[in-house]
Amino acid sequence: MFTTAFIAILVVMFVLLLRVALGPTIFDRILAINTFGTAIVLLIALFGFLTARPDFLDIALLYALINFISTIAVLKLFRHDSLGKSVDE
Amino acid sequence: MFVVSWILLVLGSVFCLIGTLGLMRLPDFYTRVHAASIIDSLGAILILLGLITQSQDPLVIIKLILILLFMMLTGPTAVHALAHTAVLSEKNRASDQNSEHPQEP
Amino acid sequence: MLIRILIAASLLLLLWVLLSGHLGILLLSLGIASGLLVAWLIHRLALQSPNFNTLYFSLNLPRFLPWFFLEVVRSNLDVSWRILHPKLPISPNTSTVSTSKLNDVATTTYANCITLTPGTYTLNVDDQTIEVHSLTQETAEKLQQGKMKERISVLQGRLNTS
Repeated sequence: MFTTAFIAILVVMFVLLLRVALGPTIFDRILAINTFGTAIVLLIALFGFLTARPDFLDIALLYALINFISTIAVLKLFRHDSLGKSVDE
Repeated sequence: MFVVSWILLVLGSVFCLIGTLGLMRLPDFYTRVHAASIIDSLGAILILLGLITQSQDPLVIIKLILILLFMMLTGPTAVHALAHTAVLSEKNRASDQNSEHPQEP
Repeated sequence: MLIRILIAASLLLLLWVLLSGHLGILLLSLGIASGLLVAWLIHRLALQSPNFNTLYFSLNLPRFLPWFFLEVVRSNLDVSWRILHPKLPISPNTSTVSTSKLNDVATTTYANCITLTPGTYTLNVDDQTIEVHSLTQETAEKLQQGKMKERISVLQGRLNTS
């Protein structure tokens, strides 16, 4: 049962990578990477259940937070050409 | 309970697959965001609900709920930041082109 | 001010205990220390909005969430149907909705809720309006009716009129 969802998520991730490779604009790529992070969180949680080791949920929790920060960091770098400037400038 | 969990997991997987199909089929960036938000919202909600109904340990359930909560809070913020930046860069490019045109002889 | 920091620190300690699952003295004291540190950092960030009642907002959230969940499911089904349809019946467009009478937190909640339901997402947030991109004309019109805004303005209470 977990295997079904696991394989589905793997397929999803493969297609997302395809969109990263194809994506005409940089925003398509960032969107696909952001969604890829969501898929990874689901994959880690499913893997924890698949191997009956709930410790993996902590990693999934951390990944959910890091994924958000990385997306914002990439966008900030793209918009200001630097990570140091404040948003108001 | 087992049947409910199974149905939720399969439905979540189906919605994730539909979302990726949309990501490939839809014509431009602004419409693809809608497809990606299917995976971010109902796909993630249903799969995590399926895992919640599966587990007995209360700590595991709390962790799954926290994952769901963080995703629902951060997902829209990231998507909004992305769309906002896309609009700004499009405007910048348009104004660049406008200012370049008069310079051309 | 000190009370606010202490409330935030105890909530963070609760989160710490729920995540670690251990109640040893060493781990608990580490939890108290990091809870106080994070609470102080949040206070330094000055994120708290002056005209916002956190308790009222939190108590009303359970009444809002089931309706919102149904709305998410409904819009998901709509967008999925449109993606699976061989002709792709979409008509992308941008529109603006007003956020008058909503305070900062309610405006943020509104913008996030708009983004969380597939078919609509926010492009830009001003003082008075939110710019929304919708997948179809119908979803834009449905948003214009303002049912979601009504629910969220109930959520924030009517303490502030400024």
